[in-house]
Amino acid sequence: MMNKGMGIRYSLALCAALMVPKAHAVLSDEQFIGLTESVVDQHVLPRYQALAASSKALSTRVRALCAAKPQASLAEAQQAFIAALQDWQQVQHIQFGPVTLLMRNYSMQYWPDKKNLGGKQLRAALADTNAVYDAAYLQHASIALKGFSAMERLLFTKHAQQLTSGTPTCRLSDGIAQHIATSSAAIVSEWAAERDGMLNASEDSDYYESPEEAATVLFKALVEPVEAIRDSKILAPLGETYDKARWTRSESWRSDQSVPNMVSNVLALQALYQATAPISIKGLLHSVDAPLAAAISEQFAAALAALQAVPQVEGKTVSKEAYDQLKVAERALRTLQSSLLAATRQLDIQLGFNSRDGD
Amino acid sequence: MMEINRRAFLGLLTAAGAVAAMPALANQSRAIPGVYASASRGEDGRYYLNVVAQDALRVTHLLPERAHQVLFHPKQPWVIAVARRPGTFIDIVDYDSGLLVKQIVLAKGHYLYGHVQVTADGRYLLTTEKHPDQQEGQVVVRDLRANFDVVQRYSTGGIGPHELKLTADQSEVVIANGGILTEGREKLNLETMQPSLAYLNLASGKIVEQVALDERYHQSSIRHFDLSANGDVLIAMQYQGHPADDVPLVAHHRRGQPLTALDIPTPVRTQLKQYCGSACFDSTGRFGAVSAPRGNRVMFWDMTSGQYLSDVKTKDGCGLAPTDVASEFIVSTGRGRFYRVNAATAERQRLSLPGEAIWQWDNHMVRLAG
Repeated sequence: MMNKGMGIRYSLALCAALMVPKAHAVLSDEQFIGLTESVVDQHVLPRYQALAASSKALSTRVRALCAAKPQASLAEAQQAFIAALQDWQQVQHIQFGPVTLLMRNYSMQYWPDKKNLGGKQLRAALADTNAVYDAAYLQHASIALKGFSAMERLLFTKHAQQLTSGTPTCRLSDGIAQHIATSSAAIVSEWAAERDGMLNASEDSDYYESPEEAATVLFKALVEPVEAIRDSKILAPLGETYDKARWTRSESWRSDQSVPNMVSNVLALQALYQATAPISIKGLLHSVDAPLAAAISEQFAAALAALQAVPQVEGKTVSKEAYDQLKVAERALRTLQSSLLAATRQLDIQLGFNSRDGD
Repeated sequence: MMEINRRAFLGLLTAAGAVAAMPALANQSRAIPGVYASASRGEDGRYYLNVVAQDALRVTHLLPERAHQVLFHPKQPWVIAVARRPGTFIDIVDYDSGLLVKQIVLAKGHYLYGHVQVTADGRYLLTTEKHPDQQEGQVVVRDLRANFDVVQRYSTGGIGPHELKLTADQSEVVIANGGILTEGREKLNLETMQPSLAYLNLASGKIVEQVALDERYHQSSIRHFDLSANGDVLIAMQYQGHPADDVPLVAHHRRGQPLTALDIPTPVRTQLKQYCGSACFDSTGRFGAVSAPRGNRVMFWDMTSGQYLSDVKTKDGCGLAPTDVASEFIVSTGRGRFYRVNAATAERQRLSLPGEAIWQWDNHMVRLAG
């Protein structure tokens, strides 16, 4: 190869002149560490602790129902399910740390389920009359059988009629409820090490190479779920027009929780944005772009108000009124999404290049 | 049993990787070992073609839009950048002068899939392209000595071809037919997609062998691969189905044999988000590397046995190229870093890049031979 590297670098000289010089990083390591500590301690850990508590309560209720304890009722078990599901919806945006190990995030809730894997696996499991649905069974069971989606089918469909002492339906429900509770508790205990990893980032760490990298996952957890909610939870079930709407594509239609789920999601994201102290994402943004910081707060409030104004959707059909209001909420979330992306640019946070938009 | 100890988990990940090996990398220079090229995004948000060496950023060429694969010409001091799908430009830059040699712009309605090859004699440039009248993809041949004009078009035998490689004897071109029909960047046929690996004979223009995974894995898009001197193909796939499905993401092929999935330990596979970026053989052809930018790691296999060796953390790492040392690779990342990694020892060393600017290194990189 001739003349390797010996030539005149016109291109380089030209581009050096064009290149906008990069200012110093917008945020310091101290700010990144402070944000991470505030968010982990005040946002992440309390929500996982709440999930562990409510999923334990769910398992207690299911066991009481199946043991035919006096006062135990299906309605109580259903209420306990809804409480635990909503706590799960409050951590669904946290797609880093212990919940990601071995697909635990999908085994806690298998959704979307376009091929009805959950229904097939549930029928197969219940047909296996010799099965003992214990921890070992669930450890090796289909991912679609382990979590909230399967539990919802058992508690809110015709399966619920079989929830009487000693039936396979009861034994499986008990096993799944225990599995959710055990997984939730494990996530809480594993977060102690994850917290250390996030707060002690270093080049050779197994966890994060810099405070900025650790804090970046918090920004991803704030920004990326907004699009996912729009796409999967609103636009997919609504379809292009009202006559194409299929509410059975929504997340938790069997328990009528699809819309409340989104309220929980947005409440959690709003809290992640502005409810931590002394450092919050909003506070950091305020120091570089106060109008944007305030606008995002208003847009969170608007998106929440839009979702809370959706008339209750029951069963498999969405009313025209609910359909139209969900479209309003979708537009509010779109506005919020674009502001949150603008915020990451203002704070010089790189959510990912190859990992976000590869080919 | 439910609880997964994080330390044990991480230990499990590296268990196969001979962690106790000699710390060979730690004593090595942090300088870039050779001359490498990659597309990038600059701090100004625009897209570039860069050539990087130990002493300097030798080329910083502003591109019209984002590029994908880059390639050194085998005879001329040229580096070639191909537009990312569905782009329409191929920039050829003289890396000594920094001057643009030629910008090829596709005819209206045609677009590129992002990958390119040049024949060993330096004369013909081959790309995977979409023709407006054809659903199947094409390998398009341009003659660099005849005004870069198109001289031949072959069907790739599948929809959505992506990476292509010439065989060592130049008689065939291997093509990854990703299987995905797109409009813009929207995917239209995920339920029916049929990816394949095809071998196209350049003399006859015929597909002489075409292989696919079992039908149940038809959503594992065959997009990127490397071809070793002795004919091994290492394939990096991207699965378009459910994020929790247990499906092959890396595979091996040799002419006349079935396509076989390569094992990835479950704790690793479940971190990859069903997405692999680049595939690369080391200088000997014995070790294979596949990058997983969404899983923030590069994985290694011993290609003689097909055995999984280890993986190393490379945040947003995607570009892969060999060094001239056996079992060694360079990884480039979207966070602006280069790492030297070793498949035999599972070691990682961050390299120094010339200059202050941060370049977000795009999907693929290439090493200048010699």
